[in-house]
Amino acid sequence: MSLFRRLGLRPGLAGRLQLSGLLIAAGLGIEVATLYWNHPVSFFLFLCLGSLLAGAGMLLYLWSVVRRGE
Amino acid sequence: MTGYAISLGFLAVVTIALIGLLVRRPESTGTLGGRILAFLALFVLPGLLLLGGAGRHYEQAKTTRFCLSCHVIQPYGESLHVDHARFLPASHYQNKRIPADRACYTCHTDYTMFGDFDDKVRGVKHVWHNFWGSASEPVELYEPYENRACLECHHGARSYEEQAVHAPFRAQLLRGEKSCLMCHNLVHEVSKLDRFRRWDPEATP
Repeated sequence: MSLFRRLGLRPGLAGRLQLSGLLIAAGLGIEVATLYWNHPVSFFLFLCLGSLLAGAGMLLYLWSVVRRGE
Repeated sequence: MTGYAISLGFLAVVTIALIGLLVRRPESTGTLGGRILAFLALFVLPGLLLLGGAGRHYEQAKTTRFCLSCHVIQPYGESLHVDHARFLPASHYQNKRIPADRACYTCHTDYTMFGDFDDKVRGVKHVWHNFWGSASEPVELYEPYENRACLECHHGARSYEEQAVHAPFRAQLLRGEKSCLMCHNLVHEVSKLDRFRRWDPEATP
C-alpha cells in the first residue's frame, strides 16, 4: 500500500496538494503557537520545525505544479 | 501582545482554514479560481506568514525578557539590580544608558553589517549547548568582549572624549588593542552577587 493511501490521501496531483497543505498547516500551526511565547525554545521551534514544515509544503506545492505542466 | 502578532495569528488561522478547504476538496483546483486559491493558500500567504513570523521572532529575541526567560541567564539579569556605582551592567541599566527592555542585546550585539544575524546564530548555539549540557559553567563568552559595543555609544560622547584618563589609550581602544574592561572590570560577577546590596527603585524617595 502506498504512503499516500496509508495517510488517506488521494493518488497523483490531488494527493500531493493535500500533503503539501497538511505540511504547511502543521508549520503554520507551530508558528501560531510560538508567536505568543517569548522564550528561546519558541525561537528554536519556529526556526527548526515550523519554517521547515511550511517550507517543505511550499516546495512540494511548487514541484507538483511544475510536474503537472510536464 | 502587539497588534502585529495578533494580525499574524489571525492571518495564519485564515490561511489554515483555506488550506483545510483545499485538503478536503483537492479537485477544486481543476478550475481557474481553485488554482488561484491554491496558489494563495499554499504559497503566497504561507510565504508572507513565514517572513512575518521570522521578523516577529527576530525582534522578540532582542528583548531583555527573552534573554532572562532562560534560567542560566537569570543571575546575569539579577546583576542589573546591584546597588554599586562601578558595577558596569547595573550602572548602565539603572541610569537608562541602555534601553531597559533591550539591556542584554544592546551590549552583547556586535555592531557589524551582519551583527544581528550573528547574534541569532549565537543564540541558537546557546540553546543547543544548554540542551545537550555542553554549556560552560559559569557561562562564558565565545570570544573576548569587543570594545566596539562600548564605543558604539561612547565614541564621540563628551563624557568619554574629555576624560583625561582615556586620552593616552584612545587610539588603542579604537583599534581593540586594549580592552575597556581592563579598567571597567566590575561586570556581572554572578558568583559574588550575594556580597552586593540590591537597588530598589520603589524605595527611591
